[in-house]
Amino acid sequence: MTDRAGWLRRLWSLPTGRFGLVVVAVIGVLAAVSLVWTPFDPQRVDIPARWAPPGWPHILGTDASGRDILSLLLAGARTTVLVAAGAGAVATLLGLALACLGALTGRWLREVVAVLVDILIAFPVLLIAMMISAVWGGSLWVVVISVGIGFGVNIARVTRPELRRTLHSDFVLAARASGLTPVQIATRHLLPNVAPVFIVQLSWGMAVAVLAEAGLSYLGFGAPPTQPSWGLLLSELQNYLTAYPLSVVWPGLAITITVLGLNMLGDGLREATDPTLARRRSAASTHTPAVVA
Amino acid sequence: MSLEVTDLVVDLDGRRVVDGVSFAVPDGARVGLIGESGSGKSVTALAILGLLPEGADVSGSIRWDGVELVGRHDRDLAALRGEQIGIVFQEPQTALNPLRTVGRQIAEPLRIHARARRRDALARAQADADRVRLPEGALRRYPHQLSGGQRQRVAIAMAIAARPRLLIADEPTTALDVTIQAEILALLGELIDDDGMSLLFITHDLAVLSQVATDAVVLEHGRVVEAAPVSILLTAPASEVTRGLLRDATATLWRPEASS
Repeated sequence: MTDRAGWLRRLWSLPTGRFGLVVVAVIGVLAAVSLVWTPFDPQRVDIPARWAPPGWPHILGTDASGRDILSLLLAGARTTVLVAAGAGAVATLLGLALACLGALTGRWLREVVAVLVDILIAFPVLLIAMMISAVWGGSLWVVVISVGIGFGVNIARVTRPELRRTLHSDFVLAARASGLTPVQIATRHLLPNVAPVFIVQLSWGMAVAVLAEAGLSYLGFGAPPTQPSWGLLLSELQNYLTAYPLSVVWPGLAITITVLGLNMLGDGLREATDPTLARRRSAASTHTPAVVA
Repeated sequence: MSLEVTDLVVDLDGRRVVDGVSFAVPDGARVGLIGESGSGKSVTALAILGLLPEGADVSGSIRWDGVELVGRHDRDLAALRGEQIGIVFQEPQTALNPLRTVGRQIAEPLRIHARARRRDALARAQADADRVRLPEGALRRYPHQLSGGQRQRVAIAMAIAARPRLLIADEPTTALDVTIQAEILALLGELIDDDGMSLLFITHDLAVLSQVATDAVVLEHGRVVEAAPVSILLTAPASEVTRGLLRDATATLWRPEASS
């Protein structure tokens, strides 16, 4: 009965959802374009052109070694997309697996998983990153895996009680009484009902992944210096903050807009997938007063 | 298609809540289970469908159509639920999934048991919605857009969608306004007549019970204290429990606000 694409249309009708969707799409497209074309080779050193102000041909100017900042940003978008998507995937798999183990299994295993999650949540993402990079050396994978683990645990922590609450709700009992099997109950009733909570955590986790990539790359646990990355660029440029303050603005702006876009997309998705929230917004247009039965 | 419960014992986390209950619902009969709250009536209903929470220990015998249900695998019971035995719960506010339209929820048992395709299931859901007299367009609405009485109608439509042979109604009118109670009771009676279902009606209110059931089993602290036709219970109650229920029921008739 519901239009299956209905939530997409609802998402687009929300200011937050539309902004988030556009930002994420634009970043994705720019990252894809940078694979085949950038205004300049992002790693080309051009000493005579160093610290060029914004203008032509260097639209956003150049850095200390004359590299084109716009090209660096475009190429860096690849890293951002890779890290956000990778960390999101790891966090989703880990978080949902832990949440399901902690909510749907027998009493004994449930308690063990809950304690495990409580222990893991005490480890900061940075510490996880340091432990992983100590073994395998610094790379983007360290960022992806450490942020994925960190937020996967977060997702599990928030989703588990929601899953248990839904599991014990009357409508799940009614669904079981209708003859649904456990798998059908999970896919039709449990997952849709925990999705709003899960989506908010996930979008927040992906936004943090973008920030963490910048931070970890700065500390040397993330992108190697040859890999274009907004975080690396920011940390390089900030050495010259007092002399060329404008240059720092660009990577900072790119990170800020991306994080904002991810958060708004998550917020919009949460609202778009929850019809009880949709009611308040469009109460005047679609809600006809319920006739007393 | 008869239900026979014999010496049913249920322990919840080590506490005995049903203690040797026996009764039968013959084909086409309308039987009431009545008792104060905590007398074990709802637990009995859940035990029949194998829906008790974890930590529940069931012994005794529950036979449906001669087949033993106690100790059966959950998968076998799932095939039975909704298809042979349907149930309506007390609380219409929470018995529906807030994220799914009413139509999809009524169609769900059909999709599972009759393996109906989406379109066919929805067409039959519309027919069921008409039978329980939901307003036009209700199938496209979400539960929060319906009133309590309408939601209970949806729950009833879900319970009868796959045409079960036995309908268990667990205090289906307790959470509703008195005026709507009467409508829902009349609707239940009508549906049972039309489909030739048996009814197991659970309530604490003898006045309500007398409107739908012909026979009744009175429970107290998980034990059967009296089993008799409803007319006998009303005129010549044999136990103190029944006399108490009768006094409360009369009070309900005279002072509706005291019925909680």
